[in-house]
Amino acid sequence: MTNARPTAPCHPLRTRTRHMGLAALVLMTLAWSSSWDSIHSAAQDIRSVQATFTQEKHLQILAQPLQSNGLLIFSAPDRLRWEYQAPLPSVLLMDEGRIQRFVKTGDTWTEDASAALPAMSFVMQEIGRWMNGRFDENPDFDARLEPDGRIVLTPRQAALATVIQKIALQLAKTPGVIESVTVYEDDDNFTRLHFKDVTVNQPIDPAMFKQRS
Amino acid sequence: MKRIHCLPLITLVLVACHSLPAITPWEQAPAGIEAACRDAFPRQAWRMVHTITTDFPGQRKGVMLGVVSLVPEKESVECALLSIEGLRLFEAHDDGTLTIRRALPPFDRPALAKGMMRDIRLLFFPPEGPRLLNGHMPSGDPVCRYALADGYQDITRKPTGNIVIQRYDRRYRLTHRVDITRCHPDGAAGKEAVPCRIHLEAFQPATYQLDLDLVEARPAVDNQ
Repeated sequence: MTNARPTAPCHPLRTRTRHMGLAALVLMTLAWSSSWDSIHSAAQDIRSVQATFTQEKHLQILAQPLQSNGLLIFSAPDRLRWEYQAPLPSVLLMDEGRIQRFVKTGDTWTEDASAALPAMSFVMQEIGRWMNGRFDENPDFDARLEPDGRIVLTPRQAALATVIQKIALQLAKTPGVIESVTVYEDDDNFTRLHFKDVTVNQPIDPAMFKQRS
Repeated sequence: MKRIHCLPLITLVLVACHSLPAITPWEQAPAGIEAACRDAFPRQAWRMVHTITTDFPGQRKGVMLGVVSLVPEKESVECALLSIEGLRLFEAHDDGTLTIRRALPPFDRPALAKGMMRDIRLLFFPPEGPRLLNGHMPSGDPVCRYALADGYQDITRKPTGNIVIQRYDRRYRLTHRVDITRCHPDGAAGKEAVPCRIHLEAFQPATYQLDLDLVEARPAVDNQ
């Protein structure tokens, strides 16, 4: 006994229509990353993005990358929640320009005041720009769009280049969505974030971007 | 009136007079006491990642990630300080000569880098000096005392298994106190225990405290 269901022979016209539809979909999804204009245009339709991420920190002094994972939530135009769930629970919040970080120590969340916060403010603002499709608007970086939907940002100033050598962003097939971000500090030290389970334009509670009590 | 004039002087003398804690030498030293003191520190090469937490006024905390790669045999250490998100703020190598590979502000201050490397050596390496004496504290806890180029260092074993390190300057002032809890990290069965929880208090020349909690530890092969 078999569960295989009999399939009706496909009509040649129906098959051709299906192929054309598929081709159109592929062209449409590829097309959004073909030029700065199409990227800006696709981003205009993005009101919110939610995704989980895995992060690998590659360090020259570590044989294996340091792994972490979390959740990224963006609400246009300038709200961002960058939350690490493991190994160290923490959350960076950007709410209309105000940036705060909270860290879970024991059972309580406390505000972080580490020296790293100013540098992270710069990064958060940059991510906010990317989510709005404004990859080429930061005067500190030269932005290059490659044919495969890859964007490479290179610092214009030597001083910034000593901190970040380059940033590579891979755009996803879904318009307005980023698949991965790799921040190169130099050839041997880099951070790679892979986004998955991406949902676009779902309603997001503004409380997600507020301080935890 | 004269008595009032003498008060500041007496206070000054009292403040200036420090002494090392009294150690009672063993009448019969337990076997392997010297080795036990040195074994408080990793003997194998390790790569470890700790969270580093420090307290700031207003009940705020600063949290970062500290990465160390130790080769005790060569007395060399590589270390990096990262933001929680992985931004590398500081990286240095010390094999007797300190080489700073990366230092973003405020970690670009030479004194801060030097202090960090001194703290790392205090936490992970046996003291660089001869043993002065072994004995026990008034509490009965076994202790080893070492003479350093710039002071003294006591290593005490607590009944809990914790290691307490106390470092003093030449004027016998307590400069650092460290409480280390060791554990066997996941995935490193058969290996030695490593510091998995560390509480460091510094009193001289700067006052601060740090709490380190182990995130992961992997045995390191020297040439990797």
